[in-house]
Amino acid sequence: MSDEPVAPIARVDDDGVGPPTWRISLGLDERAIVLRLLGEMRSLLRGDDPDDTAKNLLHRLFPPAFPDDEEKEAEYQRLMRTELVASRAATIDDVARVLGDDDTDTLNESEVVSFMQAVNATRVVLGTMLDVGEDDDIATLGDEATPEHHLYGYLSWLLDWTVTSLDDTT
Amino acid sequence: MPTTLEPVQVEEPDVDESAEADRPWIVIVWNDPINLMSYVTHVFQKLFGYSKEKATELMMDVHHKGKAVVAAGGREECEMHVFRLHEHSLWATMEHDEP
Repeated sequence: MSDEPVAPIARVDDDGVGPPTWRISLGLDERAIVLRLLGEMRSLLRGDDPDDTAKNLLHRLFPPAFPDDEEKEAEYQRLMRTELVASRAATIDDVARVLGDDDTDTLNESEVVSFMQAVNATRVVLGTMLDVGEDDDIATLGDEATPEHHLYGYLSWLLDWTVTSLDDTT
Repeated sequence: MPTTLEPVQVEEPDVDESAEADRPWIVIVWNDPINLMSYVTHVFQKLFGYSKEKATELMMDVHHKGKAVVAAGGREECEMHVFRLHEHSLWATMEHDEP
């Protein structure tokens, strides 16, 4: 019996023939957690009247492009904001479609990229909510760790595996 | 139709403004405490086609110096770079390059 950890996501086409393929190995409970978080992200993105907390989280997802030029920044937001919301929603829908089907465990490259972007965006929002600092190490919190800290750690682990699995294709 | 030519005042472009508009733009990625180093490196490789070594060098600049210039060019080109970096949840801005 091997002691090797099971990768939650890994590239599995090792014959060099055909398009690259990945296998995702998440339990039903893990799929449910990721789907719930993505649902919350979707609600945050679609919120018509965000409160201050939501505004702070959204600011991190939609940072200014021209922080020192109000006119150019307004133009950038006018042209790009809607497109950026649509792009983020599309990655969430892509991942929700794949994870929502319990029988699907094979992903193509585009789906893995969507998975990476959606997991990272969710992790960024959660990290902002937890006010994660440069030298903070969630693993050392011990009893002080909240369920949100554990979720943040889980997403970090998932994202790192996803990036590793994609590195072969860059 | 006028039969005589009247003097027309021609507005000369402001030399400083023209020079300002011609100056290239740079795209800057800023450090943040959340994005994973491996993720940032991967995004630099994917979006800009950098080698692993170059992408890692830029990521380390972001991490240690607080920011790194990851691309330069015309305004539209740089705006597209910033948009794609924002799509990947990186903190990116753009500004005119120093003269």
